[in-house]
Amino acid sequence: MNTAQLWTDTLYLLPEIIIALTGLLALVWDFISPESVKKSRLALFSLFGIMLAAVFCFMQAGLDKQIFSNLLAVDYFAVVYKIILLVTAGMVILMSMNYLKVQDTQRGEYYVLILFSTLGMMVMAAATNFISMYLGLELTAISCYILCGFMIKDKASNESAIKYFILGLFASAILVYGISLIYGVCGSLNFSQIQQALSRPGGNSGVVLLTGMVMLIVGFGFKMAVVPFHMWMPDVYEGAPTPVTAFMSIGPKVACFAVALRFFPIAAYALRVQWGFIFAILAAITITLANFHALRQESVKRMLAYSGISHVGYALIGLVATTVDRQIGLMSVIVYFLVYFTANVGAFGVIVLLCQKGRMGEKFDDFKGLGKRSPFAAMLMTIFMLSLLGIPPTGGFLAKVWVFAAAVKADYMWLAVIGVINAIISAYYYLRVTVMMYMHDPEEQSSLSFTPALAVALYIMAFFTLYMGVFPGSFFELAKKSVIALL
Amino acid sequence: MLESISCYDSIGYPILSLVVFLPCIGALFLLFFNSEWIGGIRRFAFGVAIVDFLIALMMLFSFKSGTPAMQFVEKLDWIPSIGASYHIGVDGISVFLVLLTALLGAVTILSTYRAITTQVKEFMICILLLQTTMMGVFVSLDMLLFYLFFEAQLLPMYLIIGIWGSDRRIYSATKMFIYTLVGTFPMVLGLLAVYFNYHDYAIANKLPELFSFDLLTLYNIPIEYTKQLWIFWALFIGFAIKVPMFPVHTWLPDAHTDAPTAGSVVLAGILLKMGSYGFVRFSLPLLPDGVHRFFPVVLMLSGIAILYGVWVAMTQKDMKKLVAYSSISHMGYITMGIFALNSAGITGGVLQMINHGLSTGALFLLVGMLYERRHTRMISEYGGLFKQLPLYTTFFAIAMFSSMGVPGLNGFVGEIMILMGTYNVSSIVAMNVYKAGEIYTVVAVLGILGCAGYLLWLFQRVFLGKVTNPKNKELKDLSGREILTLVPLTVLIFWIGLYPTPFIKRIKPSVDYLVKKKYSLEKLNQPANASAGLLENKGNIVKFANTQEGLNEHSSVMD
Repeated sequence: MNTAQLWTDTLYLLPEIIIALTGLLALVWDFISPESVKKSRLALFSLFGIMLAAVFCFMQAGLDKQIFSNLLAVDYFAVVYKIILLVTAGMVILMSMNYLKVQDTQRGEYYVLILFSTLGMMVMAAATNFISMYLGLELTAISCYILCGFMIKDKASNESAIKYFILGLFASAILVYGISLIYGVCGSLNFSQIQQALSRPGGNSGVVLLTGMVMLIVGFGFKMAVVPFHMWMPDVYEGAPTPVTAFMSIGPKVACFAVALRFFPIAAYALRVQWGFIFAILAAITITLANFHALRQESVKRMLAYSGISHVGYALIGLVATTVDRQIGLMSVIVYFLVYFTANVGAFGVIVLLCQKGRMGEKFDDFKGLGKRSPFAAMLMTIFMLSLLGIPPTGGFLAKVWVFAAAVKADYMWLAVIGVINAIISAYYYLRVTVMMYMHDPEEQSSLSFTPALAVALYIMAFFTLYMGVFPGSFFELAKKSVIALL
Repeated sequence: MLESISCYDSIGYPILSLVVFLPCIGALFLLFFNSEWIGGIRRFAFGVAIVDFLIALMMLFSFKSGTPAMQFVEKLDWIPSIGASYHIGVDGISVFLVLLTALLGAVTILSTYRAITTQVKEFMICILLLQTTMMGVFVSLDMLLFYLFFEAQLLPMYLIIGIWGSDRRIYSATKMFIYTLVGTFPMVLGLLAVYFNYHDYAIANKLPELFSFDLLTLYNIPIEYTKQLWIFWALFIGFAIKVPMFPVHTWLPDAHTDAPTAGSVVLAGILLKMGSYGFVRFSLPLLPDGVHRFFPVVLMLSGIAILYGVWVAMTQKDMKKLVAYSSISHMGYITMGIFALNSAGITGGVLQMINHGLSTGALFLLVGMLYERRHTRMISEYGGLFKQLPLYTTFFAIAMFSSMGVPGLNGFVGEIMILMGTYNVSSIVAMNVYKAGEIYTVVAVLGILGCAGYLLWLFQRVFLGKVTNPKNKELKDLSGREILTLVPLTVLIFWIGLYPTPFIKRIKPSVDYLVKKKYSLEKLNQPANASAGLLENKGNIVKFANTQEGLNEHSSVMD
């Protein structure tokens, strides 16, 4: 590779570079600025960096290139995923400004860590090679470990960080071992070369290869919190600061799915019978078990953690469907995450809104009478809950319908039926939030104060949740284009 | 393919969208009202509903009768990449349901001036949103759009019962919500199977569009027999729970009892019709073979619903519950008429949907008015009200007689057509295999008798005799506003009863088209059709032809 090539490739990396530079500058700024300078300026600076990166990301739409000798891809698919990640990071920063002030833990590193973690996930979204994928994965994970334990005086937060750290490392080790086995069989870490190796006659069998693939699935399963590898997740989610939980409930999962979508249906297509079977079983138990756990929770935050697990299960249905019809299957997963991330970030945002001094606002009881205390907050929460449940006119309904469509198309009727039954069961716990908000009287009369930053975040998320339900045409078009880029 | 007349050719502007979305726009405006200004909020909501009704009425005046065509059709891209479009239109089957929705919307809003005093703004927003979604169900010609409206209707209704309801409101609201989901999610699978069936067909026949949710296109696509069988049940669950049919009716009495009056009126008047409308719009034209295979089951369930509803209504002590169970019985007639699968039966079913909306709507309004005065619905608390409330009693009697099917009122017309259809079911559809038409006619007549029984008994206990309870001595008769809510319903009850031609003239062409296209003799004779084997005997065919003529004669009497 010559120098000129290196320079042009670097240009394609501009969004990532901007995020990295913003993070570094923020770190230095936080270090040299006196205590009196408000940390909210740092947040705004990070936001600015994210917006700039998003603009450059948009400019990359329509390209289809492999850069740095096939380490990373610059294509429509990567752009869509990077936008999801950047928007999530932006919204989380907006939410955090309020939360950190209330919890009295205003420190500059917080924003820096969010930026670095976002950077790692962006690399994952673009990775077409296990090396670059793993690089991104670890950068994300390490930043997240620290973020989980960010509230140092809180025991739960510390527990959360340590749990996440130990189990995360364990998962990484399994993942890496799986990768090394696959490397041993295929002779390459590059997805397209693995594809070629597997599609050679007789290339898709062998104990070592299958072991490697199973370990890969286990590793991803840990990172995406698929049942039965989900045990770490509810505790980690509950202990972590709420905005961080919002961040983790989207970011790492979305990034892992980006890798999975590049690897399984494309590179490992020759092995589709095997991984299709495993993922089908995983999807079924993930949705069902997570759903039943979510039914019993007393904390909304924990309920959302479990519901998040079951949503990963729904996305897995789409992945399973790619074994038969790749276009519809991939499209369903992309649309599912587009919808899921807006509703989920929004729901956590409302919890942040309820969080006041000495009251975390996480319990179901804290939502009592919200419809009277703050009609707008209650309305927004209702929109998010409906979207997660899959009721029109929110985006969630189309996402669910399309995942079921993928399953029906792929003749995985039993999986679709399991999904349907669980969607009905999930109505109970999502509705419980609405019942609390509208059908009980408030325990305290104080009205909530919307800070501008939080209000902006919530309104944007609610707007897109509704917009995707009513005018979903452009989003489906987006998904379709990114699928075409993949295939 | 079914002809469709664009709205730009007939009236020049998208009138249907206006009718459907005006309440929604009104609700958005209401968001910015000061919630203290109750009078203004009520007037505004009522104004929106009235304007909406007037526009719907204008639409009816430019509606062409005597043609099965879809009218005022609008078609725009919605999700082009998966073949979903914003495709709406009305034919004879749906036009009156849209109109009824608009009318009942205005009436219910007017009826809540005394009943709803807390969170008025939120209530009006819910009612207006409900209006939009219900009308959306009746005008959608795209499966995905239909499903969107069908589900979106849940939330406002859920909130109306859950927030403004009585006693066990949360239980009833949640029960309704989850029950409906149990139906609609399987329904989605069925709709998706239809959708992918088109996809496969399009690939095999090299059609230009590979994906389509468009109903009018899908009507012409054959579906494999075995596939039809399970799709039929998938759709059936969704619609049957909404109707509700026996044995999935248990959410209805709870929802009715705990809903505020306005909620009950809309629930009985419109929401239940979404289920029976779904049968006519989806099951019948899309799955003729599935319907042929299973219609005896549906008829049986309808028969059970009729008798069961009557039986349970007899024993009720609560007036509202009584009307709720009578609803189950009456919806049984509608499904029976629809699944008689002949012109008279389906036309009667569609007409009866409107009749039931009017008469049961009026009954719920009346019970609600009494509740507002005395805060109890127990029959035993009343007696001899006729002397105290002569006007009220008159309106009650009219609604009651309409519900009973007394000649001269609307219920009679619908029920007699359903009976005609049911009686002929054996000779029309399955020849020598199925001859239960007579039995079901007897069941239906028994149901009518029973209905007369419990309603007259109710009337006797509540209105006749002496005033036994001293609390009833100071009751005031209807106010001007209350009379205003009842008059339009009463006028229509008499109109349909005395001169139903304008209604039947518009409904019948669409029904005839459906029957001729999917359930006529030639269709049955097609070798692809599973029930073709039943037509071995030529003598039977001759007999069939005679009956068909006979039926036409009957029908022309109705015209």
